[in-house]
Amino acid sequence: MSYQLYRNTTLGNTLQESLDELIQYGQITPQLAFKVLLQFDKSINAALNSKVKARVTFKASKLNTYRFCDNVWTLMLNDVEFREVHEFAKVDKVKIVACDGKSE
Amino acid sequence: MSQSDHSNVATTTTSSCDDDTNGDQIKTEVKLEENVDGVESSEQSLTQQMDEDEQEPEPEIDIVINNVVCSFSVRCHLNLREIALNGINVEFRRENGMVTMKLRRPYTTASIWSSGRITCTGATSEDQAKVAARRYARCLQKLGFSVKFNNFRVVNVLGTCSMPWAIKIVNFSEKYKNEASYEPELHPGVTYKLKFPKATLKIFSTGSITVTASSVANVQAAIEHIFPLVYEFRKKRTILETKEKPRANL
Repeated sequence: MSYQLYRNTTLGNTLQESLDELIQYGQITPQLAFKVLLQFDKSINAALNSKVKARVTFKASKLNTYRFCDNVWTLMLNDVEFREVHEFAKVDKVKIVACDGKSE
Repeated sequence: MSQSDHSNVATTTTSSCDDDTNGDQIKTEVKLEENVDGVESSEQSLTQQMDEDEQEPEPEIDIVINNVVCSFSVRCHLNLREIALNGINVEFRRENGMVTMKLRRPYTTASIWSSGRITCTGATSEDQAKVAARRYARCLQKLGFSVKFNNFRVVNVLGTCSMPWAIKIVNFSEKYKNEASYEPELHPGVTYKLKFPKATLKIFSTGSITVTASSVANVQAAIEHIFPLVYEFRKKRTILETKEKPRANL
């Protein structure tokens, strides 16, 4: 099973809302909606892995805390600078939750 | 016996400092002092100062403590998953069956087993090891375990020092066949096993010596024991050896 990490994105949330609506109107069963969401997890992981070319680099002044459990890295960073080609953002605190992209 | 004249060597142990040196590099700091009562060595220098009137100046050798390994118990079962989820600076790799936790100050790593046994490595003195161990215990206490600080002991100490001359290790290993083993194809240094105090010394042709023993005192005792033995096989450093290249003259 893929990580359900991306359900909480704009795309994932709107999909869930739409599915809820369809369930309410009785047009699909909850089981089907569940299946759709599972497929969404799989697809978005695959798509982000293969189709996305955009890169953002970031650099923190300090790694405050790290944690590794169940193949998930949790990193707390201080004073992070995000940099795309032209854009630039500075954040005081960032928490990164990183999962293994290749795990199936 | 010529070596008995030089059997007293003043040694000082210093911790490799957290900030400026890394433990893997051997820091050598050797002074030849005319006078025995050097300022900082007085506390830890050998008691046997019998021949003050020797013709050669007495060498003083600094021993740098690079790593102190200690182990202790917290006398309660530890839920490793809980530590891994709530602790800070922790790594839990299930295949190893232990949690690795790190402290920044003093810079150490602890291996935590579910039995409550903890080993802590990376400290640069016995005192620092104890401070670190207590901090780990406190960390676990703050995570809600009813810990007790128990059975603390220093397990292993690694020290390095450098003689002010090079050593003819081939001849040395031939004279001390029983204790020393020199396998240049395996390791560039002579491995010298000392029974009492129990210590293992690695002696390099450059004059660098690394010691592993069960305490800082034993490291120092081992160096004091080995000094007259290697003194016999001293030689002037070649240019290559002064450049701190242990493998250069192999």
